[in-house]
Amino acid sequence: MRIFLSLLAVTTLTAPNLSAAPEVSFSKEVLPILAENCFQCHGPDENTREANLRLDINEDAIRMRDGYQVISPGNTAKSELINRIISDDESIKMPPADFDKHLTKEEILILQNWIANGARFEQHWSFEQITKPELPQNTKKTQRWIRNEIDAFVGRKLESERIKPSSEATAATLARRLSLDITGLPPSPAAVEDFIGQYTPSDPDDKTYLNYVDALLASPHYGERMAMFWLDAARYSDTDGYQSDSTRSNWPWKDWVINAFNSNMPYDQFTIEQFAGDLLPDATAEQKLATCFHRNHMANGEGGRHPEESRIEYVIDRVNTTGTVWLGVTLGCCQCHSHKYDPISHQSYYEMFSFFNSIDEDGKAGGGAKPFLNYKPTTVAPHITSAQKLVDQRLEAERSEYKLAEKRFESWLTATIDSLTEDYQTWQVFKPSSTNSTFGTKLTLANNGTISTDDKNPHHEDFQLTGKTELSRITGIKIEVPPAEQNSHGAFSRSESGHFILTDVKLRVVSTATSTVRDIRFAQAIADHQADRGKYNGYGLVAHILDDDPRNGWASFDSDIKTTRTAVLALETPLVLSPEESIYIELQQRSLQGSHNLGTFRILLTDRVGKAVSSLEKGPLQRLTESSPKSIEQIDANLRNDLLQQFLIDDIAYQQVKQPLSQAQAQLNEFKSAAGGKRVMILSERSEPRPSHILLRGVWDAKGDTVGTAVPPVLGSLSKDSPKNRLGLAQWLVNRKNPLTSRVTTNHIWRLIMGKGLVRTAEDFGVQGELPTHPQLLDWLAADLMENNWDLKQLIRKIVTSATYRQTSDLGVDRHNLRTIDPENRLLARAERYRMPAWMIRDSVLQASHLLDTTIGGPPVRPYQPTGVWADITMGRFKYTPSQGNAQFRRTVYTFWRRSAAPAFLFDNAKRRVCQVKTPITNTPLQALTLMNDLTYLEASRVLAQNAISASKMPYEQIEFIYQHLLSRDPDPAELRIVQSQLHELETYYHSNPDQARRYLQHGQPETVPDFARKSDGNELQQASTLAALSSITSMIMNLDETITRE
Amino acid sequence: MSDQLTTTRRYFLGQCTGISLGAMAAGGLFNDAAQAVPVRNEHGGLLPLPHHEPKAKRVIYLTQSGGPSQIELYDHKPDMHKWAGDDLPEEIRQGQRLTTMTAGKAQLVMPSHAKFKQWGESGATVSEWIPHIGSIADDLCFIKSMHSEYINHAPAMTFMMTGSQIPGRPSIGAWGSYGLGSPNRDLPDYVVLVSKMQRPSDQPLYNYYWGNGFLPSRYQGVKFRNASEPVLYLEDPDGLPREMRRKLLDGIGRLNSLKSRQSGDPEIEARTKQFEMAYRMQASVPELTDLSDEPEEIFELYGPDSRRPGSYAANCILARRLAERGVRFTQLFHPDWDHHSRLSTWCVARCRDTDQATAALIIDLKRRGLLKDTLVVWGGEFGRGVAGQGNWNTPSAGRDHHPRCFTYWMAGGGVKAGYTHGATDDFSYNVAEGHVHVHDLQATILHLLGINHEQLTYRYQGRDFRLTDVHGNVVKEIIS
Repeated sequence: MRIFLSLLAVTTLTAPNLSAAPEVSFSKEVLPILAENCFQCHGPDENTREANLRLDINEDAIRMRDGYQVISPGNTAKSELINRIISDDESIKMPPADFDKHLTKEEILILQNWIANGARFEQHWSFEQITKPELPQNTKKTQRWIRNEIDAFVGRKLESERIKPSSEATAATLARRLSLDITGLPPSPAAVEDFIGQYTPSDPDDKTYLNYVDALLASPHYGERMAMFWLDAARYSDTDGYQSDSTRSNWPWKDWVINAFNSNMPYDQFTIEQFAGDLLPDATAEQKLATCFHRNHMANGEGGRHPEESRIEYVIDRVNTTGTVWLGVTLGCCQCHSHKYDPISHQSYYEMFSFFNSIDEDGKAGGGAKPFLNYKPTTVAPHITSAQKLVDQRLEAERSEYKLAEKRFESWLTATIDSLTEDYQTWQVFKPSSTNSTFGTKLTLANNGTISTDDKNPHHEDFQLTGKTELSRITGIKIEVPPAEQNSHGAFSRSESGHFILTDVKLRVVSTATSTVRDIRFAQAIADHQADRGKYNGYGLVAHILDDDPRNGWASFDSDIKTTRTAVLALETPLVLSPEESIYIELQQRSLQGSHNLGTFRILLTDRVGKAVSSLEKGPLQRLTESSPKSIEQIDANLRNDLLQQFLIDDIAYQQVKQPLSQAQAQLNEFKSAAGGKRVMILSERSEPRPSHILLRGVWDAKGDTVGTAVPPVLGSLSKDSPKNRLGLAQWLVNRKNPLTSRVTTNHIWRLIMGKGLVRTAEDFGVQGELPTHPQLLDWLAADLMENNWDLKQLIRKIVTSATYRQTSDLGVDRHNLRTIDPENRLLARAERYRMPAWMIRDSVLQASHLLDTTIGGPPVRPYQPTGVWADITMGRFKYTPSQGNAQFRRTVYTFWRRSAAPAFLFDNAKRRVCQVKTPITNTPLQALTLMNDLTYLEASRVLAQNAISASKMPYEQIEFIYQHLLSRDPDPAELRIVQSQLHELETYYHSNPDQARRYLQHGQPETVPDFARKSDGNELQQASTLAALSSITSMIMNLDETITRE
Repeated sequence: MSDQLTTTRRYFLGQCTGISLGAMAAGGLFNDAAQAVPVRNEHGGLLPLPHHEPKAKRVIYLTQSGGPSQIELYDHKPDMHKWAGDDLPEEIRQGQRLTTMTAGKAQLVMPSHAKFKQWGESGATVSEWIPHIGSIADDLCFIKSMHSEYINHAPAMTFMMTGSQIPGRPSIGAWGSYGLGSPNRDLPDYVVLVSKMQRPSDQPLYNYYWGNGFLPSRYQGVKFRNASEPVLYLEDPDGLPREMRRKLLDGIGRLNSLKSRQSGDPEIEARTKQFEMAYRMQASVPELTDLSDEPEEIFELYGPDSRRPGSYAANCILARRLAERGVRFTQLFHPDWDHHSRLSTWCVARCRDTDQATAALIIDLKRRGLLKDTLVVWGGEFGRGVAGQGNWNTPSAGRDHHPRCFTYWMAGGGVKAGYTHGATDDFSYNVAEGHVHVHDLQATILHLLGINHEQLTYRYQGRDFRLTDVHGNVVKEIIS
């Protein structure tokens, strides 16, 4: 398979040259073969080297050995290398049979030609310094196509392959492509219309196009788009990762990144500040902030972890990240041994390591992850204003509903007073129809519901009670443990002390209709007495009966043994039973001490909420009965308020406005606290530098020789006037002589804009990586980038204004063969067509529906996710509450990133555990489910449909409106027909099922739901049905391949 | 046919370069094995899979997270009481690393808190805390000589699942699904079931334990949640009934196919297929997870907890249902085996969660004739040490992590029944014979599936990666 690849590179890309002359390129043809098949045992790694032979070094390969040479320059027949490769003798054949590598005839021919021509060794191409190549000569025909230098190189290649470039994409496609590539957002229909109206491909000064590009580059959304790439590479997260996964407040660094891209900070400065902003003379707070880049690695706060082991891991992460992002070299291999393919040694790795080894850190995580910068962010104010506005708005809704609710309360109260029976009790005794125990205790149920045990009193025991209740619902359970004669000291239990321990309580629903049971969750538990758990092996607190952990529980130690002990457990949500269902309660005593079983106990149930289940006092309703008022006016003010609060909890209409208000208030507080000073993790040097060692096999405490600070010799050395620290390292990275940084960076940008890199292995420019598809073009652009003072916007402008960029991605009938000739688009004879990243799809629909909050920068927000995604993964440690109001509609780059539970809607995104500059694009049913059912898309489709209806009454114009916003074009007649016929079917359905329509319109923020969707009279139902049909059709169009594709 | 060839070629190039894996999914997340494998073989590139006749067609991996104590459960040391409370002899300890929780503290020998019993014809000794597992000992193949390199949870579990302690490599199930696909087209190749616990666990189960790493994301384990929606985003929104979803999908299909004619991109048809598969999954997943068609005797076999959806026991029934449907790799995770204290109540609680259902799964698979080609694997990320943590002589004592030896067992597909491999020293501290390293275990599991672990590789960042890194030997002794 791998052989096939190198073959492909050779035949497809260079075959014409090859047939013209047997001259072969060492770095492009020979080296890949040697690397792939030989270096594992005859390469740079001394530990796996066999036969004392290196094939990566000229001197060693050609030296005389016992009368023969492995390579005899100019003489194929005398070269043992060739003899071994072509030998039939299994005992001497190379590569050996068990190595599972085989050379093709073509590969052997390349090696033979190379040796015949003198076996010249050269440097691997990417380690050679960059010189700006001359522009190639092009044919007249190509010259007419060329718009800038890029096209000269691409055109030259196409000439040699006798392939025509594709025609230019339509103006609408270009307008959309440019906008997505540069800002990550689709253009507005107005911008597309303007562009189409003015753009003429043959316009000599290309004014319209250039202006359009410049406007996009000047948009602040450009910085957000670029930051999304940078955050993935920087493995940015808002939490530490690993076990504790504590929250960090490093997001001001994210603002720094967005701002740096927007202000077009030169990439050399961008590099230097992130590596060593703190070491610059008179470093500003922002320059120090920039160094957070190298603190974005995971941090391990697991108990029992050795902090030094963690610290070493962080340093290693920095080295590897530097390797991948700037150098395009996988340094990670050298952590344990010398590189098998690239000339970078184990020692070199730890010399790089040394640059990052004296940070003033100690391997701790969370609040202990020093060094920190106290930084006051400046981007929070607009979010506070917006959050405040939302609170005010929701408060108003809550106040007016409160008044209505009060009226409902009064009529309820009047009715209740009239119907009160004298013996009303908040709590009803539960009389189980069956009782059981695990270890044989016999239970006896008395008339008053009290259950007594026999004298067995086993070490551990569970009591199981099953039965029904007359209550229409259950909201809480009360456990009473009365003192009784039968127990030791006449107290609660037959244990020696007479005290009990209850380790866990379970509530389930069983049914005669199914074999499965339902677990019912409690919200909280309170009790009239709790023992000091420090004194009693961890047993004391009543809350611990809810955690399914036998190591703790509720205990009565040190309480008055003459008084009944009481605990009240509130259910999370009221439980309503169907006729075939019963409740099942299990009381467990599985304590360490053992034998502290309940001796006598009673269970009571209630259907009341509020104080009834959150205090041990008598419930408000029972107090009301006891005070037996004749009219509302006679009710005591406190009691009346308790009754009102209880009523409101159950009042659905009120809760529908109250809960959004509480969430908005919580959000406001969160933003206000974000505006204060934040501790951002940064770099700073400790006063006493740490010595650096080679770590044997990469093991943190297996220290080998001490090493100094240096860059890998094959890549050059720090300049003499550079300091030997992070600043010097950064200066070296962006030095003109560095062969890699500019090439790698150019390739990153090319990939972001064009879809695939000139070097397809963006993370590997080493010997095992792929060769550039257009080596001269890469070098020309890389040199140009440096000449232009590392101006990234200029590089992007250069790329997007080329004719190469403007080609269509369509492979219609006439271009069909291109897919066969060049399936991977290595010749660039067309534009790339690929599914947009998940974040871009989300941002696009928010933009298309005008929901997008366009504020730049600020604290992290939480887009919709299915309920329980955090709680699921973290076993309930973290709960996710979606942001409210405008904060819900911020760009994805502002999404709070929890490392242990990355955003569920971001399929295919980098996971941000380690640096990743490229993620494969895949296509799975899980993605289809996300796009169909994620709340973001449902809400956006409804809002876009509403906007369409406001814009026009004509269905076909509404469909056009939706197409223009989602696809930046009008539907063609065939499409229109399909959409209209689907719309018709949906309308028919919703008009006959208006209730479904109303339900379909409730998704999302209360503010985006139209009023008519909440009401139910004729005209409004009609409106709701129409909107539901168009919303579902909009969601269909959102799910089209073209909508989520960059063409 | 030409489409298929192009797809395959791009697919295959994708393996080399990691770019543009889109087209490969034309075959779908749920590869039809009968179709996909020959296509891959035809091009001779990726893998001639299976490399040899597989003994197991599928795996059920019962992962016990936290480090279950081999000393309390399987590794019976009848003489240990002689040294109770003594310092662990230095010739045994050999200056081995401890976690910072017990480093620097005296290492006093604490004999097992559990009693042991011999079971069945094989006479295997199994703890009285897990009598049901004991009762099926004649079906099990114990490996008492497992050892790992990492002493903390996350690195050790990451190592066990991915062959490397640093997160980011593909998990064993992802490798299996990448190599073999799955005969079921309506369910994922690799399904993960995590027990629903009330107590927040001290060791979160990261989704990279079943992640795809650098393999395409279609190979990642799909975690079925214990929620009304077992797969994220599975349910259609309120107000959109299934027949309307069907109409919308028909619209997508028709519009996409217009586009496909214009642009010539095979990816478009592939996308339509994914939406169709999503639609089928919306039916097949609820059908799978709804246990109401199981007879009463099944719940009696798996124990009372199996009636509680989301419990380990209910997940064991699900595992059997997945096996019946041909899913390649099913992995259960039961958390909270990290018993640093109070072994006698805490560890017992986890035994109670799992004992009866684990045994029932083996019995049930056997009755249905599925055990012979289903490999069941039981074990955690490491074991626990012989020294008491806390006061060894009180019930409060527990044990610290111990990677130097621990017990795994397997059953079914291709392993010897009623067999024990390897042994530890008198203190269950070091492996005395038959070393089985984590990479060896991984190599063996792949071997039983018909995969040569050295040949299942993936090129990423300039290197050919495999599950077992550059190590691993198949444990031939345990293969039947």
